[in-house]
Amino acid sequence: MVRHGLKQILADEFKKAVFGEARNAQEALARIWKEAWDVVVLDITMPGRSGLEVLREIRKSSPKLPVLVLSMHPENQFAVRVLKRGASGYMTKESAPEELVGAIKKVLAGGRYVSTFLAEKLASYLATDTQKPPQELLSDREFQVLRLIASGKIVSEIAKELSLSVKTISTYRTRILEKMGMKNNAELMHYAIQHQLA
Amino acid sequence: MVEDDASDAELIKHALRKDGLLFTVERVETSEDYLQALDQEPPDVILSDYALPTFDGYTALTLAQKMHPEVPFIFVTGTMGEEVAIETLKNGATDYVLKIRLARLAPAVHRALRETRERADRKRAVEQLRQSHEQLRALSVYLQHVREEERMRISRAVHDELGQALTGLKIDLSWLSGRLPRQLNALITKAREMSSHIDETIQTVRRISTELRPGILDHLGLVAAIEWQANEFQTRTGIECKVAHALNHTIMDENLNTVFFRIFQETLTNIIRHANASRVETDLYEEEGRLILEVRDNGRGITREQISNIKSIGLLGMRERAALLGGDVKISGTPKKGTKVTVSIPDAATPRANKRHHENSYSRRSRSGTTWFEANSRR
Repeated sequence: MVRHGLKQILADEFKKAVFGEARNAQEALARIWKEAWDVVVLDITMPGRSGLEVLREIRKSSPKLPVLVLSMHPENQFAVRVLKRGASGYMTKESAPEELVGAIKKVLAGGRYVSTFLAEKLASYLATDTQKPPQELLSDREFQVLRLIASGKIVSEIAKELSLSVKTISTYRTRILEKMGMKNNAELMHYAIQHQLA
Repeated sequence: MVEDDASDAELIKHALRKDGLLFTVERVETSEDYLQALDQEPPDVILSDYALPTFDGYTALTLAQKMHPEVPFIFVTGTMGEEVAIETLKNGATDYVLKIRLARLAPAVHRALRETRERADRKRAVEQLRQSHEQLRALSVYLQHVREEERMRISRAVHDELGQALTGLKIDLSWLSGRLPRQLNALITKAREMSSHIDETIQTVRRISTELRPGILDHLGLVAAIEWQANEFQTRTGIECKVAHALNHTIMDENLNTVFFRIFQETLTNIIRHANASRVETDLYEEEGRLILEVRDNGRGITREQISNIKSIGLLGMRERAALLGGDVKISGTPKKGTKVTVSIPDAATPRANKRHHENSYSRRSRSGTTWFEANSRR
């Protein structure tokens, strides 16, 4: 029912387009691998394997093929993560069907699509985050690890001190570097000294 | 009967018979015979002399205690000092009767038998109680499991089927209203209203589905679900809620996800209700094959009485959920500093951990069913 309706709407706009339909992950992947498509409109919830797995397969086999995810799942839970996994756009099913046309045009042109609401939210999130010093993005535990790194301790010493495994500390270190936008311990130390954190 | 004197033995039997007791007696004199007798069917009661030529009553008592602690042991002896008597009673003898007061023997035997019976009854009752506890626990675990399955099923049905139907309606309506002649204003307005009604209904469907079981947990994994829940919590309560994790892979195991997520939700509920906190810190990491979730708040700190309060069903539920997968929950509080909840569940011990959950729902259901029974019998 949904596929049929969508096709009707899109056919009005893209008069010469060829449409292909798939009822599940298997069918979708089979057609994507065999045939050449310009864009994929993908649901997450399907019988059998999830749309997110289809997305992963598409990213492997056809990295350039734009995928617009159209799902029932709430935008605030799914959109950012689905985009991170390589989708070109995320759209919930209650968005106006006319918006779908715009979204498809955008991803066809190589762009990314998010709803105006989400775009605004992301923008304001970025704004609040850049006002804060980067170390405030860290959790207590991460901050603790940062200070220990900055004090010149090596990972195994920190692990011992916090009675956590070396692996766990290394992962925390990676997350800290990620959150702070840094590449190595030296930068961390430099930052810590500058901001008198050590 | 441990008795070296045959005529004393007769006197004892006579005393019992006179009181209307029906019995058979096996009389032994040496420790070998005694042991052999004990080795066979245990007697209802042991009557023993204290001083014997080749054997002594004290050893007889010790042996009886070791082999048949439930059988009453009565000394029937010519002499026994008070101190010795008390000493034997302390060591497990049931009673002592002097041979010059054999009239006391039958009542003593009666009482000993009655007490033994009562003890056995009590033991049986305790055992029954323990069993019924066990059954109740198994039942509660089962109910929890069934409830979660049911929630998931309804959540999916509502989300997928109703959601899909509404989406279809919306799309068709949009197509239709695009074709309405411009001058039919009333119809266009009506179509627009219908469309926004459908939107509201979609949102209701989504809310119901998420409340039952958030799709993010099953589609995007545990970390995503916890981060989302923390974010929701922060927005709703104004309590700052940060999540840090040190995991390199997505946790997709359905049972593990359920347990961690529900415990996390329960912990957040407790924080709102009791903690008076302004900040919550959550850590998720792996340590020695266990997946560990640590939630710390800066509130008033849970007290020892609150932790051990049997009425706190929430805490009990958290523990039971973790125990289901062989894990545990530690709760500690420091007054005015806050409360820390640590959930630790073996990750490697669940071979399902790396399995995909996107298979057909029947196989999934039966698999998690099996898991539950395994987990339950592991206790």
